[in-house]
Amino acid sequence: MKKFLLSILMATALTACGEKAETSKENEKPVVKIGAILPLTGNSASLGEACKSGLLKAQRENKSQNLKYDYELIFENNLGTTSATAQAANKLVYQDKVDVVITFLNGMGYVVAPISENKDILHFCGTFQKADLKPLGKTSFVQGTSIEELQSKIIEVIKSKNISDIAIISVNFSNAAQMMEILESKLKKENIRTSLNVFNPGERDFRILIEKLKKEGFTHYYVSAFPPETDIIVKQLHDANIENQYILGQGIDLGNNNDLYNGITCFSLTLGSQKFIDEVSQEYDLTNIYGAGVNYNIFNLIVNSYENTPSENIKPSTNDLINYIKNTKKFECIGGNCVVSDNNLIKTPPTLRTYKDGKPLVLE
Amino acid sequence: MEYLINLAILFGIYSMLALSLNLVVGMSGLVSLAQAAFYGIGAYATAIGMTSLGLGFFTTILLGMVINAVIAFVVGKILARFQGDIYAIVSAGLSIIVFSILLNWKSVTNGPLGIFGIGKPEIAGYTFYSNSAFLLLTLVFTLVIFAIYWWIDRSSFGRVLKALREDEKLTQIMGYKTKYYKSVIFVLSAALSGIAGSFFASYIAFIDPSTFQLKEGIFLFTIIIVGGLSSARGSVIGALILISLPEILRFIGLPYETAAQMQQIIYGAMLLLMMIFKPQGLFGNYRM
Repeated sequence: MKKFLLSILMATALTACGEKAETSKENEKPVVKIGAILPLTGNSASLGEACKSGLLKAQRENKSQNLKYDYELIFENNLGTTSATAQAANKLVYQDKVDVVITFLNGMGYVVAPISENKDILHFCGTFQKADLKPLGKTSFVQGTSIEELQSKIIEVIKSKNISDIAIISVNFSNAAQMMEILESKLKKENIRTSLNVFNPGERDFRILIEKLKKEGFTHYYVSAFPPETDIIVKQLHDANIENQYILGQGIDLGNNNDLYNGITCFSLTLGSQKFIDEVSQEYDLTNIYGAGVNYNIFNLIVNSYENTPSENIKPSTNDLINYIKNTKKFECIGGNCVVSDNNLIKTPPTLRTYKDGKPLVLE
Repeated sequence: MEYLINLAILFGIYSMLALSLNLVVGMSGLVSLAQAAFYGIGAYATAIGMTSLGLGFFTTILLGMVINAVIAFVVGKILARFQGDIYAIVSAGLSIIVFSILLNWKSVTNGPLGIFGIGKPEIAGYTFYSNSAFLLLTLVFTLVIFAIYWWIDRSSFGRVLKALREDEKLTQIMGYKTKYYKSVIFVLSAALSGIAGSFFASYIAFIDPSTFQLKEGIFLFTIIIVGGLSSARGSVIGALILISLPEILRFIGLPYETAAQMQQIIYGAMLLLMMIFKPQGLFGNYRM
């Protein structure tokens, strides 16, 4: 027993003490290490895989260019939990000594922000943004789509379709329900009859709710959920004979059964151009591409910053990089320009899409 | 080194949780899945106390302990009427109820958005800001809980709990009010779990309800099963193994395409093997 325990302690200590070289052996270019903390297993694994694909695609495309640095990606699984996120961040920051950390969704960003700030390391968090979102920290940037912009787009589409009533079904997770509360009040201001129905993650049966909403005379539905609930709700809407074209999906994101969504209008944070979506879907065999675009943009923004920030040392300092990003203000990104605000928020426009033959089709 | 310190902090927090759970499950034979709920209440007491009420860390620890004790006292009255599988199901129900409250009572808990910016402990002007100082404080509290476990284990109170675990009816015949003993140990265990929650909130600096789901209760249960039921050192060793094993697996150099999935498979397989060869856990004094 003592040997067993000793071996565990030794293994932890040894693995924790190992360090890797900071330059690549091929061409001796300095290496910029980028650590990505994503939910690669568990309920949100499809989201994590999409984010990973966006990063890998950006890395592969940048490799073919003549750059000052090599960009190495290190992926860590956070299982979608805060404690695993903290451990992954500590491993990346203190053990792998990464130069940049990437996270996805606000909650994980909040956990990593103090760790990155403590070690003066650049941190990017991809997510939806609310106008009054408090900045994560000095060294952290939030990159994503503003809720206000997204909702203006939703209302614009609803009005263009002459929709006079819409029932919202939203999961109570992350900022999804909060976003829907804001949407509900905006719809009411536009004199559109609405009803907000929030459910807890893990619920599976929405048939009674759908019947109730049908009886109340709702003909249009807005679904804001994560997989697998998204698939389940939409399937149950179909079963209740609610036609596809009347369903507006949030796409936070859709599940793995894209045929369910044919004809549905979906809104989401930046997904990228049609070409980008097709490429990512094919290259990485993905049905869910949510998060790929944001992470692709983040990787390119990191490359852009490192390549263009002058430095007297081997690599530019975090402070210089932050100043470069803030001063540049506008970066070319897929799905439109990334606009940097003073409080470290990097805004990208929302993507409007539909599905045809089970494949995503960008509308704008 | 800093990485190991962070790992040790989590180890300390989970040791506190495992010790407090083992008081109920190992020592008393009550299959409780409610520990994640008390862990969460402790964490939220600190988060809300420090960010909204301006209380100090140690005051919020007391606050969390008191809230947990009151809830556990009320729920314990109901739980004391059950044993075995029914006890497990009812306690799991408590865990789900608390999770739903944390998720939906937005005006207090901020709902699914969670609470961030939770501060560090402070004593007489000294802030435990560095990880090594925080670790020291965590280990002190872990030792205190370890000592409480050790003291109960050797007390006449502990002996009654063990008798209750082996045969509740016989213990009643001997003249002991088993419902009282079950309630007291449940209240004590809940209060101690709250301490771990407070440390977790301060360490991570951000909490949301997703951390305190039933699956966390099952994870804590796994710790004491692997380490050994009714054993203080089993609780600590169980926490050490289950916290360090996934971290060791991060370093084994699997291809990045499947590394995360493979790590989970290896982790599961190792736990399975441990249970095959050591079904009573590493230091277990009692087998379910």
